[in-house]
Amino acid sequence: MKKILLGLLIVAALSACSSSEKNMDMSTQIQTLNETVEMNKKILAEIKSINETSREELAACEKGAVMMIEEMKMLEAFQGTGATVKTVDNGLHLTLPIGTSFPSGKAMLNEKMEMLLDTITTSLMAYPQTNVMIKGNADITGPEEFNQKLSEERAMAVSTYLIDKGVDSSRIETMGVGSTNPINDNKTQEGRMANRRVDLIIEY
Amino acid sequence: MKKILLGLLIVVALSACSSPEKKMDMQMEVRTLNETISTQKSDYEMFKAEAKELEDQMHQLRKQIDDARDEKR
Repeated sequence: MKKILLGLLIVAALSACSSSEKNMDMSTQIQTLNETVEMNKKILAEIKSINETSREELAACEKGAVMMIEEMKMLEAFQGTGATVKTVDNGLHLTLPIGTSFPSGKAMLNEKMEMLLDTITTSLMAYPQTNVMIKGNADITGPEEFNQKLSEERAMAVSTYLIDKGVDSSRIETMGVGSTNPINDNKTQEGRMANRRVDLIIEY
Repeated sequence: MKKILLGLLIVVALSACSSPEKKMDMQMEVRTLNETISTQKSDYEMFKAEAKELEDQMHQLRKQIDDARDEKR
């Protein structure tokens, strides 16, 4: 009986040992798998972050491209008006040609100016999101107080014309800068003519 | 002596019995981990495809910008 029990004990002990070894193997496998899962998590987080950054860059690029294309179209449209067009921060600066100058001491629009403003109106209507700042100028002749008032009246005359042609008044701002911003020599007649002008800043 | 041997036999036999349960748990864990890895692989493929798509979109956008510039010139 004793021998039988001893034999059974040995068999049971061996069986327990073999199971224990198998469990050890599986534990190693689990550990390896856990390590793989953790490593994969890091890689996935990294790719996700890279994709997120790329998405943001793409959105910014798309916005920039749309703005650039719009700006180019607008530049082209206003260049067609005969005015000198320069790109400035958030807009375009239009200097009207010399033929559109105001008569000395007056804020009256001549025919050439009206024709030019008609073309500008068309462009403004095509870009309803834009606003216009009209800056009136005067030459150096006469007292500055008078020139200041005259420059404001010139800006106002252009504004009234644009409003009459259908541009919403809420889009227009006016200001006069007197004779402080000449673009030409005030000593010559031609220079003074060039200085009796309005500048338009189209903001978008 | 007989009693001692019988006691030992019971202890060892119980220990051998508890192992299959443990093994079952471990097998289950291995299966779960393998499934997790498989899901991670799918996610990786999805992110890779997304990265490729974003790259293509960026390329296309750059081309459109260049074309617009050329047209302007």
